[in-house]
Amino acid sequence: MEPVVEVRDLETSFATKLGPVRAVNKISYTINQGETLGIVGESGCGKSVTSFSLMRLIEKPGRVSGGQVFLRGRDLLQLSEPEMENIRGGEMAMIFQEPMTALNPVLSIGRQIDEQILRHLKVSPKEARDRSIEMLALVGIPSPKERYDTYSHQLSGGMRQRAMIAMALSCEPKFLIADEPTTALDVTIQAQILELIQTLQQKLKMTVQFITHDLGVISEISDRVMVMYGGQTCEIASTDDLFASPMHPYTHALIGSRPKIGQRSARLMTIEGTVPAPYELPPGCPFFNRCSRATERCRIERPPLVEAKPGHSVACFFPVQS
Amino acid sequence: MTDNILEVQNLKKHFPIRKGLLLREVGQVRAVDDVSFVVHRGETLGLVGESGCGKSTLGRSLIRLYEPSSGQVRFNGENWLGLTGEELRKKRQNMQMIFQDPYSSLDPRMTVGQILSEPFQIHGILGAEERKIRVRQLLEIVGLRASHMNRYPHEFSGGQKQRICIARALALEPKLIIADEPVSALDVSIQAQILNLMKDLQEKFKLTYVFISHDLSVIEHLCDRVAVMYLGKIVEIAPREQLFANPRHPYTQALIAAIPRIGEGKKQMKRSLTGEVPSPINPPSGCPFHPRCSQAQAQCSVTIPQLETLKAGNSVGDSHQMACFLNQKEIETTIPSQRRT
Repeated sequence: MEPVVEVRDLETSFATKLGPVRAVNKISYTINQGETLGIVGESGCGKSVTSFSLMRLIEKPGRVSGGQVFLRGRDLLQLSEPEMENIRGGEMAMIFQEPMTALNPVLSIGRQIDEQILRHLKVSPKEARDRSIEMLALVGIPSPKERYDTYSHQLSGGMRQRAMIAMALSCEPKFLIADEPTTALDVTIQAQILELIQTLQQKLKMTVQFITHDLGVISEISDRVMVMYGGQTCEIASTDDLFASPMHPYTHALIGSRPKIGQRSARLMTIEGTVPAPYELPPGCPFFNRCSRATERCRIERPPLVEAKPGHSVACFFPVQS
Repeated sequence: MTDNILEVQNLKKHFPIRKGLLLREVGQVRAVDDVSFVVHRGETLGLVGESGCGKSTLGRSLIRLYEPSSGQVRFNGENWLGLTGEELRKKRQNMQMIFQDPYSSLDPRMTVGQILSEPFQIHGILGAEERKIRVRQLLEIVGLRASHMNRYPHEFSGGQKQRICIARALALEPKLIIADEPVSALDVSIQAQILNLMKDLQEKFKLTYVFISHDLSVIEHLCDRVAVMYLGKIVEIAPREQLFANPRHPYTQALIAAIPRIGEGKKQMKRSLTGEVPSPINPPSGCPFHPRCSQAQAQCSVTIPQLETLKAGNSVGDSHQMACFLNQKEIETTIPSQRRT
């Protein structure tokens, strides 16, 4: 099957006082039609920068400094800004973590959705309005006709997130990027939003890239998972495979460090030290200084991402064998 | 008989809402509304619930950062709310707090050494030399180096800052520590370090914890008993195993069902609850949960159910208590593992 999204050697760097810092360092992955790829990692691992790079929303002093991003065969990085504007919100859309900052506070939520529909679809303002109301209903906002005129500050966190999803999906994108869409929400509301994204994905046959730091959420919503650390890919595998037999020492420790319901253990596995700042990264494996298996080779040579078994790739010279 | 370090009875904390020129009181936020429970010496009691359920307000009311509106608290057998001034300050050595955000709870202009010797200054104990020795000890106890004494908070990572906060809380050798979401602001790998540290310290210094969190996985990992809060009230309280294996209150059931589980594979998501938490300014009549409850009946919207014992434990505090009218009947229990499709 032809992948919908194909990322090749993507590199995004930020100019800092200490010289250019690579927040995303040559990562490659594909997402197939209708699939959900989960990207998981801790703060600063580059998961959000990856998403923003795909949307071409990286602002100065940052820039996408290399690689290719194919969406249904077209390299997004080669498009002009007006061409990209046609794709953003149309063929490809994004949901952000904080709907309060992503929504316009001085425009009613209905009007914001209208704007996007009018931008991408050939419809009359009346039709756009009807469609906006339809979208608000679709995402489960009660009395959508009345809510059309409300402003984002008048809504609760969960409702705001729904409004943003309604906006993102209003033009039936083929590819949706969800960047920590439930992190700011309570668990029962999180369950509602995840159910909503999943239902709409099936209905609209969307391909989804889902970013989160929450291993539980990633485990329940993804078909495949990519683990990132220090701007690089550690491991990509099917969700079942990744959680059953993680191969990268980082993935292994990350899963072990999270308490799991119903499997109580006296002590949690820990990863010593902290995530290094991007300018402190060693030339080799980014996990080098916290890894119990690391050798001198890991410090100087970057381990390539290789397929260890079918559909399971890992970037490590000394992977964990289970 | 069990030794209770803390006994809380009918505790309420209402915040007035003032409006207009004369700031007349127009209403009240019932953040904590008639809560009773005990904490046994040496245990970890978890307080869990969603945002706005009153768990943090309860924690702060216990240590009297907020003055409770009414109710009784006995700490070490003494009337804790009756203490004032110097007496309160002295006794407060025995109860300390750790906050969620280690970034804002450390003064950026003080060195770690100054931060950690402040408790001794305030309470006028130990001389300058002894304080230094004690600060060094404290840093080592929480896994930092004594040489860190002269550094400022910004030089530390989030996890290290939380260690400093823990060291500060331990300085006066308290008996009870109230930890309000101490790992929520930290990355997963750092959370594990802090949780392990808290367990070790508890064993070493025979500490009692009241551990406040919205994260049920963390609660299950750390706590001996768990109290579930909803809209200012405790709806269920039970020993950990019982609560997670056999949650009885419909809200607890929904909460446990909504926890994303690691490594059980992709699944069709199912919402466990519809609607949102109502406002504590104008809470629903009767049971606060009844508008979202699938098993609500007529009486639920009229009468407030009280915490009642479902199953007696070896002592009063070990019992499984719930505030729900289903209490009196056979309840259809949904064990989370049966929920999956």
